[in-house]
Amino acid sequence: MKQNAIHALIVAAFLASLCLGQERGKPAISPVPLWPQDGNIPDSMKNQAVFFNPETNEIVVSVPDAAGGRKTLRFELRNQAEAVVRSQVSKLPSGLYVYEYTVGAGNNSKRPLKAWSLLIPGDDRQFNASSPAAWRVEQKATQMVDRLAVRHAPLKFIDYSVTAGAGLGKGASASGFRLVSGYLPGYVSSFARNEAKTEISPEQLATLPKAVADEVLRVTAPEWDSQMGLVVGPRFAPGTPREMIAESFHYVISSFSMRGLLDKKSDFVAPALQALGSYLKSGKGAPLSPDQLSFLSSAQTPLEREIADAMRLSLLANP
Amino acid sequence: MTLKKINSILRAIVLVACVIAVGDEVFGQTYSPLFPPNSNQPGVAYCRYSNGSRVPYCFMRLFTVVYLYTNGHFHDDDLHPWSSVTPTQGTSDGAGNLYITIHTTRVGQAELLGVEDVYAGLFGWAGYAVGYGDIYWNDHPELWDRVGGTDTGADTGHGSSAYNHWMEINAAWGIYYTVLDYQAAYPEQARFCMNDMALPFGGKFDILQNWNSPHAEHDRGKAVDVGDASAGQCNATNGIPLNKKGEFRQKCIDRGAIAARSFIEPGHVHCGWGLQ
Repeated sequence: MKQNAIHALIVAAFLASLCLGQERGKPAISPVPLWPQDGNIPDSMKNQAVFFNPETNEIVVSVPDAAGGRKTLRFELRNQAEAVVRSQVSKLPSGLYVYEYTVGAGNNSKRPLKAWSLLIPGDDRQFNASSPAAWRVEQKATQMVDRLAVRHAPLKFIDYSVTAGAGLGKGASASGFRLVSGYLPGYVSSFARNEAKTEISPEQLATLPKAVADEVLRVTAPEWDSQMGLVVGPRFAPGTPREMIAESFHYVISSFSMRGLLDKKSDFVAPALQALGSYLKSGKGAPLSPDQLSFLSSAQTPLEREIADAMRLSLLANP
Repeated sequence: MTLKKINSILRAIVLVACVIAVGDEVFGQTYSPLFPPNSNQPGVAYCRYSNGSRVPYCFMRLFTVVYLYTNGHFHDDDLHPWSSVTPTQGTSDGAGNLYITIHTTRVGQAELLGVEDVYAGLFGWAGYAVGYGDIYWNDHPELWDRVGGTDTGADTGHGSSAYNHWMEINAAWGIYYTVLDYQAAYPEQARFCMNDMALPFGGKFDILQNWNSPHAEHDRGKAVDVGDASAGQCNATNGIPLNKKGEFRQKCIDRGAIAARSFIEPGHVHCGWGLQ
């Protein structure tokens, strides 16, 4: 008994020393349990096959093998690079929109940024993408659809990746990412990735039991395997109902407010949420009048102005 | 304390948390992860140092937040339900795990899970949504007129007919072929009045704006109301003649609809391909 108490005291003192010596980061959620630091899976977790090791930022897959032991695979997540994106949208006389981006590696990047992706509409026939030197751009179809659309609206990835060099280190940036689209601006998902030292191959995945492979796919979904963000990009096909566009901007402003990127009490944010909320609740779907959007002129910060500019193009100038 | 008061307090707490917190997960065009309604979703909350390594025996508080006006729910009140998380507070084990479960409600919408490292006073966030991933836009303008939204004179608190025409893929093909079958038998029926299917991500389609039934048959995305000649909202000639409603229902059943889930109701024929 006394020995146990002393043991607990030593552990507590050790933990306290760790706490005092290291700065805390934000707490997090993992879809799977954390990998035991001693590498021994306790009996209570013998049926668990997929773990996350926060010390190495690895997914650890441990499954029983034919010899009665366990086979262990490890691969890194690619979410250690943060993209800071500046966007500019302009409308050409032809009616097309030009989206230009400067992408930098943010201060929270722990590894160089090697790849940057946008999720955009897959059915825009006027779409074109170009990349700066030392970057390549690829388009990849997905099974995903945008449900703020009155059509079957498939989505595709625009994947930018570094072709030469180590990628963007903390503080570095690159410009010349350019999209041309017939679709109006809204906020689209962006994904920043570093290079992983170890990756799971399709062949390795195929050797796993289906339930385990499914769980691996779940923990390597973009929301875990990249740093996600919201960026102005081609979003709304001409003719998209205004209430869907308004719903989207209401969500974006709410999300940015919750994340502390917008000041909920600013002259822009509170009136914007109020006006968009009232418009959505009215259910009318009629064009928004300049009076209803008068809050746009109160945009002060760069992010507020970015939102306001996108709303002007999508909600005011959209006949 | 009444449920209403508890909800009001929760909202106040959420407001404070939102102002002081910085979050992690966001989504643009898609909701991911998307959790089914009425489900339990396990996960782990953990504290970490700035270098990413875990903090064992860390005391955390957890809570959930709802985004208003998502998935077509353009109504709100103090009884607005959203998912809960259990436990709402706890200490992680020696490996750093605090095992948690998100309990989703039947309402499809965007939500947010918050976790507070109480010792550090820091917050982390994880976005998610509640709904079904196999529901798609289902409109055939060459065959039918969409009704049941504010644009056709009905206001269920779910916006225009852009929000009530979403359907699970098999049911969507089912009603499409039913319409073609009916037209083959009655070529004079050039068009149809297509009323409620489901909301974009499914979940509770509360036409009384109270987060409850009636209309539960439309929560899963496998049902549709096809207007009859008395329904209003669109040209009466596009409605199914009153004396042909039984025949239309049978054609739905012939295309896979479940007889016990397909009804002749005032104003429309309800065809249902299942509740699960």
